[in-house]
Amino acid sequence: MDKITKVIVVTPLKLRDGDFGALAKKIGDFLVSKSLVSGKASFVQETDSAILGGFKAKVGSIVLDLSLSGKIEKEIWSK
Amino acid sequence: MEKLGIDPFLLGVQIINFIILFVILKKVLYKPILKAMKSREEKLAGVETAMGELARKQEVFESTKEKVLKAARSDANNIVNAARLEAQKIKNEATEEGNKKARALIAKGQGELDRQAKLVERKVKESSKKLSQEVINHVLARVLDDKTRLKSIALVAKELKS
Repeated sequence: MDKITKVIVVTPLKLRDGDFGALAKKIGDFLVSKSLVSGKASFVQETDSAILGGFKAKVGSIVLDLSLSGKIEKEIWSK
Repeated sequence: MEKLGIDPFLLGVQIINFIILFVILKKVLYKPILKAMKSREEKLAGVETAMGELARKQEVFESTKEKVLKAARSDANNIVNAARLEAQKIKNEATEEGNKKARALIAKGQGELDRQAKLVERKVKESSKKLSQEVINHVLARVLDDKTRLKSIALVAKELKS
């Protein structure tokens, strides 16, 4: 039996199911290509307006931060 | 002589008396007096000799005293000079030591100041960055509408694919 990996996707606003499904598929493909997920994955949507734009994907202790607030933070703190 | 009223017998007796008196006086009076005078002269000579000896001894004493005083003054001067040199040396060493400690303290203080300055600078930079981040986030939170946020999600997802 394949192990199901839980992936939490954080977005700045709640997406419609269709949009979230399309986004989850893209994230899933990326995670598989990076060997971060093997087998099946279940996606859970969370909203956090503080991330401003983009999204975050949490897989266990790994956080894929592609949010706008994350980019701003990286930009500011890298200097 | 009789015509002159001089009795030869009496004259002879007088002469004899004179001779006897002379002999007696010489023996009883002159000799002790001369002896006493001689003794006194000898004593005076002894005193003069002693005085001369004392004067010579005093000269020697004065000379020795002067030499001793001179030597003592010289020794004292040498001791004072040596003490001055030693005091100067100690003063120089103490000054050098003090300067060394002062320089070390200044260097330490300077190092501490530099460290504090760097710490403050780092904290100011951190505060500045946090403030910048908060301001940007606050402004963007007010500026971005739902449509733009959705668009940003789509863009990021597209980059993820590529």
